Amino acid sequence: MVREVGRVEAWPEVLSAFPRGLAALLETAAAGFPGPLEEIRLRQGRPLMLVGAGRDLAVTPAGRLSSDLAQAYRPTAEDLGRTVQLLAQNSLYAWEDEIRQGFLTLPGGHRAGLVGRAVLERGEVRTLKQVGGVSLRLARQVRGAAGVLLERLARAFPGPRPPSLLLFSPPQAGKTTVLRDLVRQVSEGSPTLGWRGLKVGLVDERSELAASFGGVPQLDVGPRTDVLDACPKAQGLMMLIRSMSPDLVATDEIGRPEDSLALQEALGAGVVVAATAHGGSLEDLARRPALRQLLGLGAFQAAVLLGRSRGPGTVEAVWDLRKGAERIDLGEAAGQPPGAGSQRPDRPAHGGELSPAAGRTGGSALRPAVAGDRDRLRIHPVARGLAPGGSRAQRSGGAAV
Amino acid sequence: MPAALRQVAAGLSGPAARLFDQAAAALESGRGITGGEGWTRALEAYYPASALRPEDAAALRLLGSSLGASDRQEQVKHLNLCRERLAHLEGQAQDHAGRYGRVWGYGGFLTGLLVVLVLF
Repeated sequence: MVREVGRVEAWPEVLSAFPRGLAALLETAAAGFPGPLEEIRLRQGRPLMLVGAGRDLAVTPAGRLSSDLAQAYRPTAEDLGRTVQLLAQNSLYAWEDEIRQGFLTLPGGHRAGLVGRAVLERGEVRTLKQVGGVSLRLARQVRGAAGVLLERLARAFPGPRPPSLLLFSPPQAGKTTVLRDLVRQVSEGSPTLGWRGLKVGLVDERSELAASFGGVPQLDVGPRTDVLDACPKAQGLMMLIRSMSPDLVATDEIGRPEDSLALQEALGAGVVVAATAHGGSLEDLARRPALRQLLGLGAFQAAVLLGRSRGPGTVEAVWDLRKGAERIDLGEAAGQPPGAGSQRPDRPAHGGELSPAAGRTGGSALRPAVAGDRDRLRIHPVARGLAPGGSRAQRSGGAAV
Repeated sequence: MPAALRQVAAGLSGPAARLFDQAAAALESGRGITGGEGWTRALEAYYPASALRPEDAAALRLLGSSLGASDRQEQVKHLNLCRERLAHLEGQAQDHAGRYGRVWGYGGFLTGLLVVLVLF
């Protein structure tokens, strides 16, 4: 079954990251938030806001929600200062590397982004002072989030292992959630898909995928998954390949030149790669040198566009990159966001769970699945390293011909 | 921070160990309590029954306002400043009765805390 964990259960640990007064406001307000809460936004002197379900609402001094920003509570400098201390568990000195990168990870995998005044040392950011804004993104483990995707991939890429794939989307479309569940399911194995459990090496540079705390994953990433936490991706990939003999390596948010080299090394070693990247279209990806190189080399067999058309984690499109970029028809099961709540009880899924595929129909881009039915995408030169422009419709995957 | 305070407490004996232990307990038990608040709570509970003079307690209270609230470089600076202040107070105390001699130890304890914070 599709299960969303890590939100309600984790609420006390999230609240403990705020000073008591603020925590009380947030607790009251969050209880009335319409839909899954995704973010808590604090900006000094500006409205305290809760974000989720595609909207943001202000929190009033009485803990009520309001769309009128003038009614909002406005966090003070002291609120921000205390919040940052608590987020760092009163040990800011122990989080220097993370703060330098602008974020802190909490137990449970929640991530707090920080902005403030950068303190430079020899031209590099040493730390942030006078933090004026905090964005706390709530981690959610959605079991089954990758179910539909894996099912379709297994059909399109028959074999004992999943294909190397690149999940991409604009920010906040569920890449991390889907990748985490993909890792878990691949690690557990799936008799339904004909995959035995594989050894997975996970490089979790931002501690978001496994949410390791004290070296132990807080979220379920599978029984055969080895996690390198807080490790630079390129270095971590090489370490895992050399030391842990993974069948599949996974990592989040690739895009730097060194990432490309490390992934090529992995592919050269016969290891399957699952990675994510920011981008709204294949053309977007091809504009980034490292990704263009990887796509041009045929590093990935599949590219998956995630979106929010039916909520974060919606599988908008999948392309087969083996022969150019052919769009794979996902059928009516596609497009369902992970954790949407509706299920198809007749569909067996991995690990005794039901896939997030739902019986929902509708959505003009979705058609019943037909084996082998693929649309040839106008942008297939992407796989050869070209970067054509493309209309908005093309970018959204809606211009298959 | 609680772990650092516990570690320092474990290396001490007598009333000073209680101060660090209580500060750790305050941080571990309370939701939304900052390092400075935990330290101050422990100090206020400990101070009346201790041999500390008001100026000694003030120096330790001041330390609380920065405890855990900055990067390593800043923490080391604050701890060193507090240690120097306590060393000065120790000099004064040595001119008085042996009762105040116990203050001397706090400079040493802070060295322990400093080392733990740098290593953690």
